[in-house]
Amino acid sequence: MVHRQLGKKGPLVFALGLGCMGMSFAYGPADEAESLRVLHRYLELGGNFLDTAEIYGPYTNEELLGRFLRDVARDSMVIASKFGIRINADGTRGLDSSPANVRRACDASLKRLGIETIDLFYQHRVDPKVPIEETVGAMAGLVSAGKVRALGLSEAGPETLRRAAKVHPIAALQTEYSLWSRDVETNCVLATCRQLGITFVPYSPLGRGFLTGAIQKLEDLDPTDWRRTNPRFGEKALQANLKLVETVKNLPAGRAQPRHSWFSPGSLLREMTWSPSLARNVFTILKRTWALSM
Amino acid sequence: MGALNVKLTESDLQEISARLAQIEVFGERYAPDMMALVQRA
Repeated sequence: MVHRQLGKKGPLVFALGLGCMGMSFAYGPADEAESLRVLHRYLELGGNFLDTAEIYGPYTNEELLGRFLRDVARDSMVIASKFGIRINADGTRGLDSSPANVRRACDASLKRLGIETIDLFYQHRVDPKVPIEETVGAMAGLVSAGKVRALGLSEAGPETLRRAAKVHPIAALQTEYSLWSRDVETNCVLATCRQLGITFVPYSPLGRGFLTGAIQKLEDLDPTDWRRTNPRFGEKALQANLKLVETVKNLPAGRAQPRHSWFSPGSLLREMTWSPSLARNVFTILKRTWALSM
Repeated sequence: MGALNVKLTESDLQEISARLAQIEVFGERYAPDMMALVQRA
């Protein structure tokens, strides 16, 4: 089994995490029975790292994981969740990383997940209205209270990471990274993580499913699927981006698995991100559709 | 899970980077309102 440590002293996690957002949110209708089967299969195969957030659903994704966690040993899973996107009474959303909201969100997530400690608690997006020192200070208080084991940020830039790490060790940074989203290689994000000992957690490593080749046209997505509003999935962009999928299919084949004529984009990304020339301490987060074929 | 066993050589990685460098990606990764929220300094 391949495991990675989150930060310098954080939890040890399986190299392929399971991103659970799509089980309840954004990628079309939810299927709880299928999602629970995937979660159990992932555990059976040695996986131990689940990723969720308050905003996924909202709330229902954490509740789903809570139902799963009731049936498995707590120490068999490392649970990551996120706060910082507030859902207003009228349904609109906004950023809120105020210390009061950090504490409220943590308590609410713990309740929905049915656990006593969140293993990795991320700020979901940087809130420009609240200094990162105040937010991380509140998060550090949750560690002291035993409600959280390790801290993370998501989609933060290098300067924010440096400021945050001065307040409390940051175990992980989660940011989009795939063969069509590689800006972290050149904007100092990966370099800063390496320098500070922060594990980089790439989300959407398969380009939100696009790099698998399963999405050939807009109609392949459910009418409620959020990706229909994503610029890369617009009718013209999607067709133009299929050239990338064809290129990925014809990239050099992995040598350790002769039974595969070509390897998945996920494995490719993993190898690229673990390359000494790019970054260490990186692992990918699989999504539901790929987990089913594990 | 089999992906964990795949090994790529330096020349594989160079070839991959070279091929990908020839491909233009169309569209930002998020709509403008959500792009404004990512990778804040």
